[in-house]
Amino acid sequence: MNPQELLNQLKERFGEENIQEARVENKRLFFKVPYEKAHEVALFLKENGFDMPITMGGTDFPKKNVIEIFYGIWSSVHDFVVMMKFDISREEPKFKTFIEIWPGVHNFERETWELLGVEVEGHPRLKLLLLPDDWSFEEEGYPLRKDFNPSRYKRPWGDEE
Amino acid sequence: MSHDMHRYLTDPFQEITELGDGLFRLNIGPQHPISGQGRFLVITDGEIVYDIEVDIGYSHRGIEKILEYKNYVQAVVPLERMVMLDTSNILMGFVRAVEDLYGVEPPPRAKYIRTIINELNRISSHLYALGLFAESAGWNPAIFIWTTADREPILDLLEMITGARWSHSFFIPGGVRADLPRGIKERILNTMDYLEKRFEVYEDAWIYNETFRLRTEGVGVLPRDKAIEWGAAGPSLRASGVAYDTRKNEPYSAYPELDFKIVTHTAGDSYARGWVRFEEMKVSVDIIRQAIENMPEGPVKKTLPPRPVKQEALARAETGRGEINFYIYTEGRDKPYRVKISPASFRNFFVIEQLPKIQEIKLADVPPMIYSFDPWFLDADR
Amino acid sequence: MLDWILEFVKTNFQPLFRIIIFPGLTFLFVFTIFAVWFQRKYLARLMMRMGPVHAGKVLGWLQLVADALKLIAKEIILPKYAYKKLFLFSAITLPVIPAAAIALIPFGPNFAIFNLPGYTAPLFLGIMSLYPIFIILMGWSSNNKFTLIGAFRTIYLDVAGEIPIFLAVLGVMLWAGTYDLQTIVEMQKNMWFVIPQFLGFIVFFISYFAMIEKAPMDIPEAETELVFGYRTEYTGALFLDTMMGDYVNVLAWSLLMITLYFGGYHGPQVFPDPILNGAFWILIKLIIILTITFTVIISYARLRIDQAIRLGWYYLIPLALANIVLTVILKSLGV
Repeated sequence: MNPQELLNQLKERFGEENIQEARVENKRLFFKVPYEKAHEVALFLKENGFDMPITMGGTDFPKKNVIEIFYGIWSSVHDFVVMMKFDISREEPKFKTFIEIWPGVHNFERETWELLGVEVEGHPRLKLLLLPDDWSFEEEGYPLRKDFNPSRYKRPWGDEE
Repeated sequence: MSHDMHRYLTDPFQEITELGDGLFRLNIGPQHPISGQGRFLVITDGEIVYDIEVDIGYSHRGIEKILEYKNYVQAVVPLERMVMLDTSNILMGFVRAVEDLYGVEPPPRAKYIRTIINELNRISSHLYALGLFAESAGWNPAIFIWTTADREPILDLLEMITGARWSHSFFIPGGVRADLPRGIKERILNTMDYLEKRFEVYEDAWIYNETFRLRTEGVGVLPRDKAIEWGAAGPSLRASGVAYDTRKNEPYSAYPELDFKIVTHTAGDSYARGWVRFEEMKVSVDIIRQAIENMPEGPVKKTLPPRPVKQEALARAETGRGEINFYIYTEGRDKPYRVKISPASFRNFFVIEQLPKIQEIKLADVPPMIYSFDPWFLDADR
Repeated sequence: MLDWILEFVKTNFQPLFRIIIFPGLTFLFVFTIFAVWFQRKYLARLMMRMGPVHAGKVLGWLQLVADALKLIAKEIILPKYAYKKLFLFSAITLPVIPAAAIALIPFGPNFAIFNLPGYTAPLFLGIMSLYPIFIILMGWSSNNKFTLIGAFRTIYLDVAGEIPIFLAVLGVMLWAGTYDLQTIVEMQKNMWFVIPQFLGFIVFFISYFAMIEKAPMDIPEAETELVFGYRTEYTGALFLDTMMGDYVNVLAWSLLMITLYFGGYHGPQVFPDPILNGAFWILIKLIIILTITFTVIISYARLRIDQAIRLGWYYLIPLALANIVLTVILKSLGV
């Protein structure tokens, strides 16, 4: 199977309207699904040999008022990468975990939870991973959100000016 | 026994009552001979390990956030701080992603120079990793000091080519900063001869040493299906029998034109992971020889066009620790809108956490098991 | 007062010399320092580096003095929850145990610190078997998880190493037909016991590494997982003291090996005085044994505790028993 064939299969199975912004490259397939369909598509991908998560994260879009979550899954059978993306609301950012489908996303989802402030429902261990233990989300915010301003943190050795 | 004595007898077990079943929590790190800039929380009954929790984040610098404020050339410097041992391979993934965004193909000579530097860096990274692996199996520092000494000629070569021993900042999107200096080819070939001689010594003294095999064979076995499911990366994946190497599966630089094979092992234990690293160094020596032989002439860099042609790119590259991939989203400016770095160590740490759940691991096996993955806290923390 | 002391020294010159100068305290101190220096320089060469070079003009010989001064000058930290009396007592007493055992080793014809005719070989083993007890006390009284695991591992390692080494010594005693170290040495004038007791020697040599807790079997102090094992909490002068105990322990077992298998003080005539000659040869043999020990230390990875116990019970104890049976058969045949 190559990316184009997978895309055709996906469109056939889930309908043209659900597979949006699809783009085929050399060994890559990018597409976007509505959040409601994401777990179904993920299960379909897993059944078709996309078994190894290689990246996962999110992008904050304050203008569009969404957070885009992406999952990059490599297939040990077909040897190419699928990037599945879906949008969640920025006001109430949450989605259901994909750990049952791909166990390897455990730490990636944990990281997305703390850095982007996305509630991952059903995740077994939502505990600070990269941020300091005394990090307060209320005061300091979520570092990878676009409204987070890193320049308010002083350098430990003093400012350059 | 006096009351006082009794208190001291029970004190060391204080946490056991918390965990039940005669278990207690052992803090390996962040101040421990093997831990590095992180912590392993080991739940053990003194000899048998029931759970390992890896606590990363002690050196989180927010590189992903920093990159949102840097243009693509400035981004090179903070990115290199991820793994100082292996800077050019880390950078390779980023440079590939940016070139993909801008639709630029580097000139052929630049590709060959990149290949040589990547492979030199890979050998030096593997040597360091294997030295730590030997030491973690309880070797006196002899092997570590041997490998450190044998990294020196490689670092000298890198210094001659790039001007720096560790953080070269030599790759830029569109090529490399400068051409090779005169007379470097003979020096590289001499160093390769020296390294091959040293590899023979290593095989005799260390790789096939009885006690080393006793300590590492059958320790931390990672089955093939679990390796894929948990997302192991690099030599750890190949040691479990998955023939995946980015250099072969998604060839970049000069790799498609060179002849080499993917080193794999089927055992999946700590020894296999170390062995795969060791054999990969030999493959790297071979690749460098071929690259020098087939080196084309020509320019070494191209300028980037003013605007990227794509909005997003996902690029993968093979570092010493395994695959790194960069997902870059851009809105057309000279800076990325979002960079997602997925380093090998981040994935391998998760695998380390899972291993005690599928087999019995003893406390003494924990260090060799961890170091067979060659995890790097700075790599995982970003 | 002074007269009395002078009179005492004059009348008791021989025993005082043995206790204070050679082979007593001064020798132990000097030789420990030499052994550490030798280990550093020798291991450095095997690791393709120089070792200490700066302190002291020649071969960095002052480095150890500098290190010792540094350690003595450091603060002694008593952990808050340690059992302090035992913590101090066990560390301070540690070097005394092997030093007391060395008192039984003959350094020349009838020249031991403690010239006790009779049961010296079992007495030596008896004293040395106290050593692990103090290690266990150290690990336990520190009240730290790492030291406690280290102490438990010492118990396991003793089970693996002490029994075979005692059985090997029993083989030598059967062959010689005596319990006396002095007599055993005298009997090796023409043939070292390493030849008739070769099996026993193999057992002794392997168990020796378990007893001195060095590299293939430095399991109790396993740096990679236990920081420094039972010694983790000791600082400054106390740490120096425990290191001293460690090296005197190495010295004691090496001296026993020389006495039992390599002819003790026997050797070609170099000095006319037999005691001087004996001391000279015992030192030469000691340095050779240490060189071999250090080479082994650097050539192998550390065994796991279960592997060490398996080695002891599956291979060393049967081998030692076979050696005893062989010895008995050979003796009854009148060889």
